[in-house]
Amino acid sequence: MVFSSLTFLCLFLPLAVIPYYLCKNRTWRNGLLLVLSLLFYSWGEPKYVVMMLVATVVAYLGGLAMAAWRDKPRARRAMFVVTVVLVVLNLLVFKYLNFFWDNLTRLLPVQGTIPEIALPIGISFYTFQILSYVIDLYRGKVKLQRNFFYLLLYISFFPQLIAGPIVRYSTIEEEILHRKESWEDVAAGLRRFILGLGKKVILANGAAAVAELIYGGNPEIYGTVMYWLAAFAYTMQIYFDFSGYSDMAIGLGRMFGFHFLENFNYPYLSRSATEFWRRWHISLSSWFRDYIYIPLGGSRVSRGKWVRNILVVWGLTGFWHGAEWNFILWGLYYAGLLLLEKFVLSRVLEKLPALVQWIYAFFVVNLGWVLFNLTDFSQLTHALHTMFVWQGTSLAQVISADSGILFALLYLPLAFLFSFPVAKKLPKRQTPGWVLLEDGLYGLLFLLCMVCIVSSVYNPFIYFRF
Amino acid sequence: MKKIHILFVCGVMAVLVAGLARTLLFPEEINTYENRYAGQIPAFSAESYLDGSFQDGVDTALMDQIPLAQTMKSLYNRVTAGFQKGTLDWTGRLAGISGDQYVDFNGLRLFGEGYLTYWPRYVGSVQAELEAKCQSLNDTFARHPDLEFYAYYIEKDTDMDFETGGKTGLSQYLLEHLNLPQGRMGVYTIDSFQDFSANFYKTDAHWNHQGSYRGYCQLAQLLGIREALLEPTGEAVHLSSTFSGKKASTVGAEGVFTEDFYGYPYAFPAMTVTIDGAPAEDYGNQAAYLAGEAGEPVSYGGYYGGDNGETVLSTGTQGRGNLLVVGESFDNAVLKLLASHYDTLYSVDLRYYAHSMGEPFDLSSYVQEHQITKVLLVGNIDFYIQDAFNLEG
Repeated sequence: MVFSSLTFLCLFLPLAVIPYYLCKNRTWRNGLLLVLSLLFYSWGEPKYVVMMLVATVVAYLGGLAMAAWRDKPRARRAMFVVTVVLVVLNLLVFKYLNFFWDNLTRLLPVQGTIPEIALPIGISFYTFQILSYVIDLYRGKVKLQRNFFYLLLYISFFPQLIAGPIVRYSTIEEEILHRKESWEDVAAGLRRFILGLGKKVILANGAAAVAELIYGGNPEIYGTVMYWLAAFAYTMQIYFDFSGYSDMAIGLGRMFGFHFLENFNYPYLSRSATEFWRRWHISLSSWFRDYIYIPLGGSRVSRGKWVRNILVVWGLTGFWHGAEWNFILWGLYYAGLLLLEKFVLSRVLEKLPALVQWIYAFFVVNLGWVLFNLTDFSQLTHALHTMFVWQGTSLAQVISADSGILFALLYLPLAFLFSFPVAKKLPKRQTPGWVLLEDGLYGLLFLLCMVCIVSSVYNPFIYFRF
Repeated sequence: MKKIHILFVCGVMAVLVAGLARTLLFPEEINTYENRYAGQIPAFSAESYLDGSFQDGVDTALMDQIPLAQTMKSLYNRVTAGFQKGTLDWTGRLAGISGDQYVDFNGLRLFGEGYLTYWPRYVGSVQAELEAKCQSLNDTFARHPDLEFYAYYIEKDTDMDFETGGKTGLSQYLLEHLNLPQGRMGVYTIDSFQDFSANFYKTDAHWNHQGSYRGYCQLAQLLGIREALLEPTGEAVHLSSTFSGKKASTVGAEGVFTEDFYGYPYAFPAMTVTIDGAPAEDYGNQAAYLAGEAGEPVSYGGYYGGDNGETVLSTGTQGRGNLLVVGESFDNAVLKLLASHYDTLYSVDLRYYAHSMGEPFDLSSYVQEHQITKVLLVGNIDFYIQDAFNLEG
């Protein structure tokens, strides 16, 4: 179930919010959230919900054992390693086994097949949340959660379950039992949710139409300009899609009294690739920083090891996004860019005007998204070749191939505009009239989103008669 | 301030709950905008939940049932299609797109002066269906040697690539593979875009007043009608300048693509009409439209008559025989014209017959019961490839 579906909006959300606020007891409220979260997951993955439960049981028992053996460091450490290995193994099998096997059979004279394993939704996110709990528990940064159902609630909590943000246990440890909900929180959460919904169903879907049309169309008719346009459209699509989803998750969390950390901070304002990753998918980059990069020594090691650390972290970052070579390539692309910026470019960029720095960063980010988006290597090489070796485009051919592009293009300037913090420049007052006006605008945005969602499926049957 | 927050939250929740309540408690049976049955909440079972079909059904039901869903869709489609068409008008000129070049518009293709056209469908792409249909029809012909079968194929935009001028070869295939004497097979031929544009609507899938009249004349010749054919009693009457047909609906552009709708006035003989077993005042509403008394926007089905399981037009004469027409919506425009030459004309649309008449169509008993000696099969490509139109088997 995705947040932008009518099932979530009309069925799940009212059935979550209304009973939640009818319950006065914290335990009942948490129980309700847990049941709803499992229902939410099972709606899309009825069979794999068991796997998530098993992974949680492993983390729970591992945590109990580590706490029981707090005076036996070796046993505690062994328990920690076993727990982490089991949790990671779950991810490796369900997300990467087919990839490894396919590549193995290509490289080595190995025969045989393994079953095609469907990727369980959200496995990368909940695995990282489980790991953050286990690692922080081992490090003594969080307390043991003795109540299995609260641990399960943390892992399966529906707002962040499927597409993040990756919420650390330490962020909501206190709020599981001691949060305070208020009408202000519910209204603010709902506003944030609507904002995210608008980003997703209006801007992301609009931009997606352009990207899909060009990448999915006849490559012969699209020249250099169109491939750059597709890259730009996908750049907008992925930002509004992902940040919209994060906004919806953060807003939903707040509606139930949880305060998640921000996941995006206007990444397309960045003036370097390094800055981009401080603003993009913050919960993931900070996860890799805290649990991989720093334990490897971070930057406080020899230059050679530092380069190794960067390559490992960014290779893993890419691989986390998907079991395809292009994702690894995309991660390593950023590793290369970060190293280049650290050793060479940063000194050059600093001396250039801010606009030039921004253009550089926007250019490399756009290019990165091409690597990210196109999993078919022949399509990827064709796209890159066309982007950098001039090929003309016949406007007539482009329009003839699908005139739908004319409407879809309308979204791109809007998306570009809203990728900057324009809304923050608007005046903001805390007067009743102003709040009422803002709520009215959010209400209109919500209705517009409903129109877009309902209209996304148009299936007329011309032969049917009445 | 708290009251404003409460108002906002409750307002949004009310909209969402209304969607749920309508879907669960007061579901619509028909989605009139999309011309189909509306999705309903499916019955729950563990199996349907595990395979995801229950969840899909719920989503489909909500899409159709939430209040104002069809209005929202219509509004959205009109705005987007209107913008697309408006932009296409000037960018097309800018890009040098001429009328003799196809331009994709939401799955259909624009050609000429605003004609929405289907993609050509070549024999190769429907070979299996054609073979099966020819086999099925030939078996029927063989089983009923006492009946005179006539087959009439209507070419349209699916039968020709207007850019290249190439034909798809479907009509030729049928002529070669149906076991009927040459004199009992006919083709409504389209050999150029000029042919097409003169005889078909811009925004609708069907032939227009000129095209259908031409079809009637050819059918009369095919059936060997010797008496004088009906002729229009006057000039074509302009009935609407905002007609927007099924093709426009298909691309979500109803009301965006519009055209003129004309109708020929005819002096039909008096005939009694029975539709799906019940007496009716008329088939279609030509007289009322021509007199300006129809009271609703003109449509192909509204003017000529809709698709029914069974339509019976009886002139009350004796000795001219009875004709069975098995076809689809193209025949709507010629049924009354053809009926003028027979005692009784029976028209059957096999897609709806069983549903409307409460029993499956049985050719043997039907022709026996109604003393039919001539059977006319008439339709476009859909009629000759879709199983729903199978006469027997």
